[in-house]
Amino acid sequence: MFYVKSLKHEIVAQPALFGPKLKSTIVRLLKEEVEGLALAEYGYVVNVIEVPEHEIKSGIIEYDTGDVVFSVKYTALLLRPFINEVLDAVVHQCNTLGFFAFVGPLRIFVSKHSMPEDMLNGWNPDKDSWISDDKEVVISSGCGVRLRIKGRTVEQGNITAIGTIKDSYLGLMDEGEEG
Amino acid sequence: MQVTMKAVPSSISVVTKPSPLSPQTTTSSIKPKDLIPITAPATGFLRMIQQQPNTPNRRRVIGYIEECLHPTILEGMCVVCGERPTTTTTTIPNKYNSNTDSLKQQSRSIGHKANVNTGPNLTQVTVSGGITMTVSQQEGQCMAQWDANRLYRQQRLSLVLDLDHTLNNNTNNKTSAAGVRTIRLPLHEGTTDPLQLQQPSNHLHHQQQQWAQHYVKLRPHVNDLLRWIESTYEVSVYTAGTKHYAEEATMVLCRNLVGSNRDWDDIERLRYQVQVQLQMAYHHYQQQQQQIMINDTSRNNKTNTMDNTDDIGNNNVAAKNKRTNDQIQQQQLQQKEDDKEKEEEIMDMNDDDDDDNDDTKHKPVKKKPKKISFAPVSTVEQEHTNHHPDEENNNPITTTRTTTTSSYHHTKSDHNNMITKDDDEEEELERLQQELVQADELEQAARRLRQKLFGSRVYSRTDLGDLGQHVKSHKRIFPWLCFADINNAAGTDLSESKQGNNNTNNNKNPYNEQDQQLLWTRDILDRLHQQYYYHYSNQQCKTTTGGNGSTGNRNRRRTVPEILKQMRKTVLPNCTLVFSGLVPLHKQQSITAAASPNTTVRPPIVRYAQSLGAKTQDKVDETVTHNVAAKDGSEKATIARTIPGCLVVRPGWLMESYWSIRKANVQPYLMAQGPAAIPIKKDENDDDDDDDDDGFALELEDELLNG
Repeated sequence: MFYVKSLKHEIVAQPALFGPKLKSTIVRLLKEEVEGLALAEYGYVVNVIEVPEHEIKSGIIEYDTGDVVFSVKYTALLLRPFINEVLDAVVHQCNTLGFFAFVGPLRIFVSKHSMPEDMLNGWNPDKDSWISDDKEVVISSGCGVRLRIKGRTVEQGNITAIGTIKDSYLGLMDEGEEG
Repeated sequence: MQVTMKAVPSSISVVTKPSPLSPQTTTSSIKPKDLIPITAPATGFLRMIQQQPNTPNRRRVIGYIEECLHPTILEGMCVVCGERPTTTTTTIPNKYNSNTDSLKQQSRSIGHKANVNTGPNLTQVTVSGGITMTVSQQEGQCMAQWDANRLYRQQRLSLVLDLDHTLNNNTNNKTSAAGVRTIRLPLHEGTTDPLQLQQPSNHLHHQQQQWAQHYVKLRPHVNDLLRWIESTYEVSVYTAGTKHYAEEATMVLCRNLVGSNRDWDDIERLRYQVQVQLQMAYHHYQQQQQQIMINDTSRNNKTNTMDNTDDIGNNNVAAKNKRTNDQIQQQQLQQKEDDKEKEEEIMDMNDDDDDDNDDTKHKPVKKKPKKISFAPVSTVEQEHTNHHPDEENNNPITTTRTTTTSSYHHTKSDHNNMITKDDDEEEELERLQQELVQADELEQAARRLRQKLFGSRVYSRTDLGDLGQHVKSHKRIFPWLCFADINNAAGTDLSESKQGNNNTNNNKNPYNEQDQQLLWTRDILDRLHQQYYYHYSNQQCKTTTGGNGSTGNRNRRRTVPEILKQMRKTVLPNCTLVFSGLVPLHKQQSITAAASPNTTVRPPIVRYAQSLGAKTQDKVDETVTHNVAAKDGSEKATIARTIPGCLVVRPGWLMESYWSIRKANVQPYLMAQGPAAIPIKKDENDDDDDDDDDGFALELEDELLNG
């Protein structure tokens, strides 16, 4: 789920920013650009933990624009779904094909085929929720569920994962305030 | 115990048990050629068998692979196994593909026709929230079947309604027409990326949103339609407008249904008025308190025979008290304003959340409006103010005060004036607060009704994502169902208004109060529902009594398009129509040959007439019953006047008949009428004969007498 890694990023700084506080400006720019970004291989950058000063090396001037490119190494806290990992997620929306849940910025879709057998036909369009045959389990918007990640894809700068609640000890954990 | 493994097509190297015949038994001497790879024939889930059955065959079955059928694909990935199927296509074709025979048979049994596929056995579907996924044909049909069964059990049909010019008309120009509602729409729709919209924490842009007012007028009889429809139809809304607009417009509809005349802006204005009134009341209360304190201090001065310096001192003290009181009052007012701003922010942020969120978050604050009552006292024995303890940030001020009788006389006149003023204010405040409570309750009722009536079945252009090509096609939302159009007319309107009034616009007047379309629609839907579920009760009876009807028809339900077609055919059964001035010359050849389906495209008006069961021809003769003419005085109209029983009518009659699926009353559209057709009856014939005979006898007599 969360892990720390050191990454590299190129910051393009305009000449107006050059001054005595250049390094702190670079750190600020780095945070603005990178935090919240979804990197294909690594996941979402949740936070920039540390930017060691010695890692901000001298920049290279671009001839045509006059901007300077700094190559910065930093340590970041990343959020990434790992296959077969078990996560707790919050259900955001239920629809006729399954439901969407979120772990922070990470979107996970659980299809009805990945639900237990007794919930396969449990779609209730009036209440927008998935209900088991014995009416015990009601999954609707705002509920907490425990799910296992089965796959992931990165498209258009967002990471979408596929989950399942069909296995043991998975499924509804928390009714939620609106449940 | 079942173990699920993802089987991968690539080979896996496994160390096999060395066979007893092989001389090489040590693990170090296993060569790569002894390793037999296990390859999966398909992608799916591997289920291992624990207990192997005793089979004489050396090839024992150790497990099974449940192949994944990839029922749904999200962003190129199967939602069940996570693989990327190689046969996905994500393009939408420009024309509809033809259906296979097997599909037709299957769909007939469930009462629907299957339709558009976007690729080999794949269909794109947009679900609520604007996410587009691809489903396989099998999955689509399963879902259609499930939906159809569910509706059938509830004895309901599915209805998709458009918003603009169907249920309402709207504009962003302020208009003074009666009964206009207002809605608030953002100036910039913001991101249309469904993932961004879905993010629960991504509401920052709402705070910087700018809002514009739009004005909505509901079509006449919309209440009748919606109120009745709920029990017999599952309603969805599909509009080419944006998501915000769709939500606001459905809220306006529901507010109208519960009888609320206040839109969101009106309620906010009322809330603001209550706040202002409260502040004024509090201000007056503060003033009163200060006045009383000043009077107290001055009284104390008199009773204690203080000198002027002390008076001044006390006045200074009183002034200082007044200043501090002013400061306190200002602080409290400021706090109230801050809270109001915060509430507005919360409300703005919550605008796009679920409506329930909106209510639960600010409802506890607004549910119990503040109640300040200045008890009108005849003796200034007690004054107290009541506050609800869970109110915003008012200090519960409860003071009781007693005054001496001397002060009573001294301050009575002043106080009485203040009391009457307070009474008026108090009444006004109470009235406003009651109004606000009622308005909030109605708003709640409207939200609940909206959830009940539409659910989450409100789809808009924003949900589809692509804002151009296929906006008007509802197949993206309901790809496996075929909807029969009841009234999906677009383009030129061939009807004229009944009175032929002059319209200021070129188009028909959008605020036409005589508009009956929704009543006609309701009538059609009613008849359709009755006919569709007529068989439902019939089947129940037949199964119990053993049934002697034709078995071929017993299990086959008529589809909605079939029923509608049948209904239309019975509207003008014995009518023969001739058109005058409506069909251009170069298209007239197609009229007579239009009976066979393989001819050229019929002109629309001919098509309407023939779908209503009427016969059309281009010559006026004695069989013609109606001459549908653009204007009077044409050749055909002149001839038609001479034909007994023939009516010359305007095209509006035909269009009203078409759109209401009922033979319309001819009177409003009548231009001319032929001589009344003489009905052939025996009595009349006898009379005629007698008259004739009498007449002949008289003539004969005359001749004979007169020679």
